Amino acid sequence: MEAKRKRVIITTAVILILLGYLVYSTVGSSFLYYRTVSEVKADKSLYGERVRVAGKVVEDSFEETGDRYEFNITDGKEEIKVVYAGVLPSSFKEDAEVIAEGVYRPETGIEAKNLLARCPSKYTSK
Amino acid sequence: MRDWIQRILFWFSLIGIIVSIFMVFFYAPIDRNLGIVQKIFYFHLPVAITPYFAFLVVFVCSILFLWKRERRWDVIALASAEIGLVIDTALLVTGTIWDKPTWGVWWVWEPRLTTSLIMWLLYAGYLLLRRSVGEEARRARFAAVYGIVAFISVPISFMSIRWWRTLHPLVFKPTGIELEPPMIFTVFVCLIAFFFFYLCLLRQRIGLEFLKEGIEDLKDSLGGG
Repeated sequence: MEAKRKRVIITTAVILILLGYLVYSTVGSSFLYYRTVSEVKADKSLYGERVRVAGKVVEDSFEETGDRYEFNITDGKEEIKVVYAGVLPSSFKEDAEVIAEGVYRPETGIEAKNLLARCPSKYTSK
Repeated sequence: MRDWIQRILFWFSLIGIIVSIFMVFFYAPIDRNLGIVQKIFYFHLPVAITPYFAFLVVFVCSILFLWKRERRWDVIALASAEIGLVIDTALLVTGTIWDKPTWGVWWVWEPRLTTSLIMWLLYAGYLLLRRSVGEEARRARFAAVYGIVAFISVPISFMSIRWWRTLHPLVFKPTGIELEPPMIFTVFVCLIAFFFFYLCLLRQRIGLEFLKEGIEDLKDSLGGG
């Protein structure tokens, strides 16, 4: 009985700590999960910082050199260049919405460490 | 299964689920962008809504228990929390299966996913709490208070895609449903089928708890305390 009680208290404690960490990390960063291209360009304090930027892949901007990919993303107003050297998500294509995560510099664009595809929140048949 | 309500719930959910599967694969059109993988949606939505409802039942029954102090409210809350958590697990699993082909990752710490995981952990904690308190009256009281407090995670998870920028799509917008009519019809049938499935399990689980109690009473009367 004593051992069982101990186990339950430890499990509850672990869950509470994990929960606290999750809440902390969510409030800290994910509440603004991504920024738009215009927001990043306008905010000088973000230059040289790690950012998450959402935008549409600009048509005919995609270039592939070895395992490095370069393309521009736009929010309809501004454009940012993205350089990425990882695995492209399978639904990646021109004109699709993506989220690039990495350090932004005004001269070179975003050096993306991660690239996520955003699916459109609309389902239609072919 | 002499209980006719239980029998109706059983057949409704069985037929409903069979019809749903047929509609998902043979009636609903294939999505233009995501292809066949979008069909997870018809399962993902019901297993998202049902736990919300199940935890609402926990919340309401917890209030009723504290107010009336009748054991049956505690039993319904327990049953609904257990079933809600199992279905909620299916939600997280179908979510990650769907994330990988669409977003390119299994998991992201974005608001919808994070708040949903917190909700799952809170209700796992609810069941843990019930196991850790030995005395029945205290257990029911603690669980009721916890069941009320933990409910805060439900509206937060539900509203997360409406309040904050997320990766998760919002299909049911105030301006309209972003689905074609056959897709709406299919997901609606899936939802009803799943709801009956939940009610069927709930009733079964409540019955089980009272059977357990009956056995304990019998034991007591035979052993003379």
